[in-house]
Formats: sequence, structure tokens, C-alpha cells
Amino acid sequence: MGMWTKQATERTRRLNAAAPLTDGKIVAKDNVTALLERIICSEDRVCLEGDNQKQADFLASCLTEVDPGLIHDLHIVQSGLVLSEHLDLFRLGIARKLDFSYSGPQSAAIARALDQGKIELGAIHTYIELFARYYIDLTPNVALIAAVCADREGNLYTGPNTEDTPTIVEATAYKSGIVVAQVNKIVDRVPRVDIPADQIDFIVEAPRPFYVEPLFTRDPGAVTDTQVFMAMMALKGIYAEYRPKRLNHGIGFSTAAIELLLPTYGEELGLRGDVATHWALNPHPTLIPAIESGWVQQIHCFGSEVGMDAYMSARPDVYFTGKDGTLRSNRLLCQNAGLYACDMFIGSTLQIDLAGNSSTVTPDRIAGFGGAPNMGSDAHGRRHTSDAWLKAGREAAGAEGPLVRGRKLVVQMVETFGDGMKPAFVEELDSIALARKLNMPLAPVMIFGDDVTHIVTEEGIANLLLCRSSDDIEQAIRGVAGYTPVGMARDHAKVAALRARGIIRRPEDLGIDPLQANRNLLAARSIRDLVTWSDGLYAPPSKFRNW
Amino acid sequence: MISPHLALFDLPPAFDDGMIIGRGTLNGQPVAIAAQEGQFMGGTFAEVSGAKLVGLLRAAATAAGTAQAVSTVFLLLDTGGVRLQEANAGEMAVSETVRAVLEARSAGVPVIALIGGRAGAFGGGGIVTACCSHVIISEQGRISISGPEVIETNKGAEEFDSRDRALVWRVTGGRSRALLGGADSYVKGDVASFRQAAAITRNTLPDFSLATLDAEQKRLEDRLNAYGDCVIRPRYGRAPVLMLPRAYLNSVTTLSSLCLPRRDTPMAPAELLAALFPEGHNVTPGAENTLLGTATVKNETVAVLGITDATPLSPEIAITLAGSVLDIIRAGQKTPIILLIDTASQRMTRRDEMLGLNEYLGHLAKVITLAGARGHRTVALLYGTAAAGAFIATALATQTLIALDGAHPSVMDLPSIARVTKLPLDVLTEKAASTPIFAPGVAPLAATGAVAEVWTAADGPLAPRLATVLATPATKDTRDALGAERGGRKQAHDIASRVEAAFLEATAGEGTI
Amino acid sequence: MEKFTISTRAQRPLPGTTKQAILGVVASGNLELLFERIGGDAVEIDVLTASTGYRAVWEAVIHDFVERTSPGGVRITIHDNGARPDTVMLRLMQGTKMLEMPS
Repeated sequence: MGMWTKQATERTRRLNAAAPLTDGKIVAKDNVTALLERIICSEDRVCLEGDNQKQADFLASCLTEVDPGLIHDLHIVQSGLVLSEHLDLFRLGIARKLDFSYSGPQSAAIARALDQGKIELGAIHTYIELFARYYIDLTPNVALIAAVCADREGNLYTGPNTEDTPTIVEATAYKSGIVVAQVNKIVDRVPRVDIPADQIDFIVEAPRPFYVEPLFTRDPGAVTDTQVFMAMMALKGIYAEYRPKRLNHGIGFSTAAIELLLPTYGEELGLRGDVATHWALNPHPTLIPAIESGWVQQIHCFGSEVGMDAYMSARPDVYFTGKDGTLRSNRLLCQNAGLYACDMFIGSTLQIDLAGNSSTVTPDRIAGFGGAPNMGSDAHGRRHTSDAWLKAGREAAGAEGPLVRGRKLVVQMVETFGDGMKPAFVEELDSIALARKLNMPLAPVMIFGDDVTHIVTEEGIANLLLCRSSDDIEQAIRGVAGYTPVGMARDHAKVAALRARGIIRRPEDLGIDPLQANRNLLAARSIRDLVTWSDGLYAPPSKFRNW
Repeated sequence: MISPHLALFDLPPAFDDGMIIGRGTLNGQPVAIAAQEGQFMGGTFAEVSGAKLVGLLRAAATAAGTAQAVSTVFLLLDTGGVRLQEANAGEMAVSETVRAVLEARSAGVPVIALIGGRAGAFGGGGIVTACCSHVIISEQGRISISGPEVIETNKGAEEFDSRDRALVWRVTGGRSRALLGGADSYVKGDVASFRQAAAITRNTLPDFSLATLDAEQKRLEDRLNAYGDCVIRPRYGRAPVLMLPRAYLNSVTTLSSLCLPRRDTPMAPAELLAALFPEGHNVTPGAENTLLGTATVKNETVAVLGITDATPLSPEIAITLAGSVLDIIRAGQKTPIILLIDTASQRMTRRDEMLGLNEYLGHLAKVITLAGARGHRTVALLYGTAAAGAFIATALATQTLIALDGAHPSVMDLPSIARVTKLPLDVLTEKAASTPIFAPGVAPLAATGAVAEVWTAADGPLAPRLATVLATPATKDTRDALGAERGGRKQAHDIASRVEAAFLEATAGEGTI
Repeated sequence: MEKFTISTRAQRPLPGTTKQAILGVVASGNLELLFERIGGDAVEIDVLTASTGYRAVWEAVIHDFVERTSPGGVRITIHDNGARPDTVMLRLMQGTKMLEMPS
């Protein structure tokens, strides 16, 4: 009767309709918009591959050109909404509903579109959470993806920026969906097969290579003395205390400063080999000096980074590489590694409230979550132990024993004032006002306070594991909130008591010499220094060069 | 010594105004050092910072041969050029620094520029650098006159995309400068590498002489002949250069004159020549709106050179004028030299900066200064506009600058200063009424000592006045004293004199660098 | 711009013998400080800042600084170009350390 094969039948119908436009799997670039009009139907769930790095930008612009009378009310399910074309889909009425993870440069435009009712928002997810829903209730009907090259059969080489592609294709191809890949080049033979041809329906050679954003490059030249100071505190007050071997770093300047201090201050503290040996991390150029100094044993990557390819290919002992010699990244697996296999996450945020909840949402910007909530949360399903994990758990419980489970160290590193003297510590997160305005049942929170173990500011470290009441937590946070209104409103006696209990530790308590807090302590002080450390293998993008 | 002018703009001063000067030893030999702080106000030339530098250089020249002598002066420049909040004082600081550098070199004290800071050596800093005996640069160092942002603002991103940093360094960066000859030593960039290069090079440097400048003239002419027809193509495609005829360039580079609105119409060159030289002249227009010839004043022959029609100063014009001046010096007659100036600013193109416009402008300033030092009376008559680097390399390089009707000297026009200082134009105009320190025009620049005399036609014929000036022997550079006397630059002369006196009293330094 | 002087007393004179220290630079978000010994236990701080309206924050920072380091007998002159309080505190601590070092 075909009652159980409706999806396969529909897929066949669409492929037949598209056949006159193609030469086997190959589609000419000028035919792509027409092709999309035949393989996509209104109200389809569509994944237009785009994350925080690589973008199927050519397919995105073709999709904006379809006739909205023919195709409308699409449900976009994709991790990154970062191109202006992505927003155009909603503006033109081609798409209506959205489930996503990260928006970055479009965060202001999304907030406006939501406010104007142009977007019907499903939810803002973490990466791993959205990927999970691809297999439960958000399975794409059509996936439009990007790869470096394809052979004529449709085998894809996604190369160093493999990222989300295998996850998207698996969900689509094995559920009777249709997969279209834009490739930079069609070749006779791909360097390695990242996606096998039988999961790919169409390939098109795009007029330009797909766009990749250098998102993880931090210029050591822009690291401030204050960030060095905070990095010293983190190394001495957290790394040296808990000795986490497996970890993830955020992408801010304060964690870049830590990376650049490992070979200098970290070495001085005698931590090499004992700390920070295994990483779930994008290829941060600022980690090069630590890698070259023998700190790092292995790194698995969510994605790649512009300019790092040759360096990583030359360091296969450290990075995951294919038989062709280039990096293999995988966002789903790396997020999973960050959630379950890391002892520590350390990163920065925009706002922290008195319970330690943090958010990057401001009233007019919705940046999404990306992966931080996975990295920055305790995995309750974790069952293996490590010294760092157990120590954190015991501090939290105030007890030891066979039933006291560990805790992931979740460290928030913030300067008390952000850009434009905006205080990082607030009585109420801006995201709560936003949730009210947009009628969201749950305010977008990056990391909930109950997952946070430490807060590091230029004033000191607050250890929330040792807090025993919400009042302890509030005063511990106020006690490191500096001269923000939240910090000025501290109860000085209570803060002094927390300091006596070791919950708040000042730089002088840690024995840190402020005169050492100087850019000269950085293992590399410029992008050029990173190139030198890499033996000339790191090729930074032009905007970061000063030579 | 803090700047007295920053408070006017509600800006905090620095204890040293961004310039540290002193004495030290390098490998046991006494040296003088000046170091600029590139982070304070962009590392700018201003009244106080400039006077400290000028005082140090003058002292090094005076001390030559005495117990206080130093073997070398090191200039650690890190500058975006003239500080716009005190633009006129800054422009004079650059001109006086150029003069003092050459004075030190004439006294046999080499001056070595070390360029490796983040700010680079831009604007007047590029010209000062080109006047030094030797330039040491690192890969990160940059030398240029108009910065990429300025060129982009004036000519668009197709001409120079200032955000394309690799391109910025290909045009202005240490490696390009070293390859093309704009820098003499290329070092890794750490302190030790600069120190080593400084110690090695100082013993073998060219003196400030006709022979040296003749060689420089040939080197810069050869460079223009070899690479002058390269026009850098807009940024589409990868090929860096495209050959185009020179005429094309001249047709596309008139915009800087638009930036400098004239206040009065200047006299036509023919009319001006007739008024100046009633006894006769044979001055004729040369290539690219230049003038060249001789004239008679009180039966004496004088040489006349000029730029007309508010033409932006290009490498071609600078090298042509410099060659003429060198010919006059070589003739050995000590003929007075009169410069008639109506230029704009330096020409703002990526091509000119790539070719080392700072060296061409620096070279022109050097030959004019050499002429003065070798007994030629040098007088500039400004009858039109002159701005920024072009002003420094021409009119301000002569012994005596006279402003005529229609003269409009400037560093930068007020709307542009308003943009940079982020002050509304009317506020800026109001401030300009209270101080001559930054506003364009003859009166403010006369007050700072740049302009010696202002002649208007209404006061009678020009020729007798010119004869009087030519008959008056030139003194050394006393423009800062004139600025103090006129009240437009109250501190520069005093600071420079105090620095000089302190330096000459000091016993040999014990510090090392 | 705003200019004010904060005078207070420290619990004890600052140890060490260095007479003078200068650090920092008047760059955006930064400041320069001149430390001079004046003897006794008084602390005098002259502030010239590009950002107006933050006197209360300056007073709080300086109060904590005096409590944390007890810099008796020191005059500090500050030229500030919009440095954040944390930067001010870091520089104050650094300057004190410089004075404490043997000259």
C-alpha cells in the first residue's frame, strides 16, 4: 500500500523532478536555484549548513533567490545563523520557523527579526542538543552542505573544516532526505572520503570557495597586563591546585593569555606534564608555544582555524589527521568529548548575576549558545574518575566517600568591566528582560550558577564549591566584582570572612607579584612570534599580520 | 614637562609629553638617545616633545669636539606624525628636527633612526627618518608619510585598503623598505638586535655633504626610472603591479587640492615673477607644474625654483627640484635660491608611498638645507597653499619663509582636524580663535615662527623688499625664538635651550642602553 | 577632565628605599603614575582624569589600595586616560612594589 514508504516515495518524486536539471549528480551553478525549487517544498525542515566557521554560502544565496510564492514557511534547523542571507530567508518569507544554536555577527539582526515577528523561534540550543534533535524531531528534509571537493561520484572531502557535516548528512540521508553539497572543486579523486557518495544526491561547483571565519585567532599583541594578571591567578589558584589534565578553553583573551603563559609562568610553577595535557579545543594559534614546549599530548578539534592547516598537518602526534595528512574535525564528537571527557572548562562571559548565572545576551543581541553550555556543565552521566574531578566534588560536598561523586571544574573568567565600561556583574541578567519581552518560557542562560565552580576576576578568585549557602555565593561574587555597583554593594565583613575561609583568594593570598603581571611574561607577544614558534608553519590571515 | 595645549582639548597630559631624551653609553662610547612613546597621543610631534628632541640634537652638534661630545645620536621614533591638537607647533617641531638632525650630521655626529614600534614612522616622522644618517628597521617597523587610513579616506579603499594588513606592510613595512633602500639595516626586532645593529653601523656612515646628496639624488632617480611606471592596480586579482603610462597617474591625483580649500586666489605665476623681478628673469614652466630659471635682483643673479597650481608634491617633482638645487650648489657661485611655492600636501597614493615618498621629500629638504649651509641664501615665497609634508620639504626647509597675498599654509584643514579630534567644527573654530597652535593660515603660522614676514601688495612693491631680505645674512634656525617672541609658541625655544644647556653641562653619562 | 586630590593616612610607612618610580602610559584605557616619597604616614594622591564623574570610584579604589598595601609617606600623581578601576589598582600595586625594591 506504500503506507510505510511515503517519505521514500516523496524523495523519488523530487529527484525525478530535478533530473532534467542535472548531469548525474552534478548541477551547474546557474541551475541551483531552479533545482532548489524542485527539491524543496513549503514547510520543509531545511538545514543550510553554517556554523561558527564554515558556511555553505553559495547555496544560501541561491536559496534566497527561490520564488517565495512557490516555497515558503520553511523551518530552518541549523547550528549557525551567521550570514545576512540566513536572515534574508525570513525577511523574504521563504522561511518562517527557526531552531538554531549560534548567531554571532547576526545577533542584533535576529533580535530585531524576532521582535518584528518575522521569525517564529523554536528554541536556542547548544550544538550537541540541536544535533541530538536532528535524530528525534528536527530531522531535515533537505540539507545544503559545504565541502572542499568532490569526485564525480559525489564522494566528499570536507577537509580540516569537517565540523557539522557528517552529523547533518547522516540525519538527512538515512531518513529519506535530500543532500546537496557545494564544493570548491570537482576533482577526479578526493584526498580522502569524509562523506561517502551514497549519502550525497547533488554536487555543485561553487563560484567561490566557501567562506570560513577566523574565529579563534587572538592577537597576543592585544593581550593586556590585566589579562596576564588574571591568567597568573588562574594558573596558580586553579590549575596548580586541581591539576586538570583534560580541558577546554573558551575563545576570549583571558584564556588566550593562559595559553601564552603555560610555557613561562606555568613552567615556573612546575606544571608541565601534570596539567593541561589533553584538550577538546579548536586549533587556537595561541596554544602553539605550549605545544612546541612539550605541554600538550593531544587535541581533538570541533572545527579548524584559518591558517593553522599546515601546522596541524606537521603535528599529527598532537592533532587528529586523516591518511591524507590533513586535520579531521568533528563538532558533535568534540562537543561530546568536552562534556564527558574533560575535567575543566574555563571561559569568559558578558554578564554574571548574584547566583553565578551567566549570559551573553544583551537586550538587543541574541548571540546564541554555541557549545559553551556543554563545555561549562557538569555531566551527571559521568562515571569515570580523575583527581581533579574528585577534588572538586569533595570540596562541593564537604565530604569524601564512595558515594561522593566528582564535579567538573567550570571556571568563569571575567574582567569586572567590559567594553565601554559595562559592568560584567549585574543584579539581574539582561536575558531575563529579553525573555519577558519575547515571551520565552526560559531565559537564555549560557551557564547556570549551579554548574559554576570558580569565578576569576582581576580582584581575585571566588571558589563557589566551598560556599554553603546562597548568601555565601552572593557575597563571594560581590567580593570579586571589583568596583562595579554589584561589587561596591558588598558586605565587607562577610567578604573578609569568606577570604578567611579561602572562598575568596586575592592575588596577594596566592603570592602573585603584580610586577610580574606584564606582557613580557607572554611566550608570544605578537602574531609574528606565533609564526616563529610554529617554525613558519602557521600562516595567519592578512588581517592579523603586522609585517 | 607637560604639554600646555592638551587641556584645551580636554585631554590628559603625560609627564614627559611622550618623549624621553638622555645620554648613555653603547659599548663604552657616549651616545645621545631620544625615544618616543608611540602609545601617548599616537607618538606625535608637538611643541614640548619636539623641543626636547630639537634641544638634544642641537646639543649633540654643539658638543662635537668637546668633553661632552657623543659619538652618535639614536632616534627611537614611534610616531603617527604631527599632533593635530597642536598642529602648527608639531609641524615646526618636525621642520626644526630635520634642521637639527642635519646640523648634527654636519658637525660629524651621525644620527641613526631605529624604527620598530607599533606606530611606525609616519607623517613628519617619515621625513625625519629619511634625513638620518642610517635607518635600522625591523619587520614590524613601518615608514611612510600619508598613513593607509588617510589615503583610504581621501582616495577610497580601491586605492589603499587599510584593513588589508599584509598589503599595508608590503607598502610601508620594514622588509619592503629595506629591499628598496628606504632603510639601511634590517633586524629581527628585539632590543638586542637593534642594539647590535646600532653598535655595528655607526662607524661607517655617510657625512652630510654634497657628495653624499649627489649619490642620494642618483639613487632616488634610478629608483624612479626603474619602478616609477609601476602603478599599483586596484585590489582585484593577485598581480601586484600593472604597467601604465605616467600620464594616467597625473590625471588621477588631484584630490588633495580639494581637501585644502584656498582662502584667496593666488597670483598667477607670471604676474608674481614680474612683480618680484622687474629687472628681468628667464623663469619658465618645467614639467609637472614646476618653475625653473634665474632672475636678476640688484644686478645679482638669483636662482628661482617653484611649484605652481597647488600641485601635490610627488616623488617626480621633489627629485626634479632637488636635482636643480644640487646643480646650483655644484656651480659653486653661492647663488641665492628663491623658491616660489604653491603646492598642496604630499601626493596621496599607494604608489608614491611604496616608492618611498618620505625619502624624496626628505631628500628635497636635505638639499635645500645643504644649500643654506654652503652659503646660498635660501628664501621661500609662499603665494598659494602648502600643507603637511610638502610644506616641510619645501617652504619650511629654507632659511626665510615669506607669505604673500593668497598664501594659505596649513598642516591639516579644520574639518579634517575636527574628524580626527572628534570635536564639532564650530567648537574647533571657537578654540582656534583663542590660540594659534593648531589652526591653518598665515597668521597662526607666523605666530609660531614658521613665517618670518608677511607681505601684502597693499604695502607696496615686492621687489625692494625681496632685495632687502636677500641682503640680510641668514642666521641659524631661530624660528622657535621667533615663535616665543610672537607668543605663538611660548615654550619650545625655552625647552630646547634648557635641554641643550643641561646636556652640555652634564658629565659623561654612566648609564648604558 | 576632572582633577582632584585624595589625602589619607596609611597604617605604617612604606618599607624600602627607592625614592621615585614612574610607570604606565597615558594611552586609551591606561594611565601613568609618578610615585614619590614624602615621608611620614600620609598618602597624597593627585588625580587628573579624562573621565569625569568617577570620583567615588577613585576614592573606593584608593581606600582599598591603602588598606591592602599601606603606602605611608608616598605622593602619587596620576594622569589617567579612562583606565578601568582594575587597571588603576594593578598599576598602584605595581608602583608600590617598585618603591619597595632596594634602590
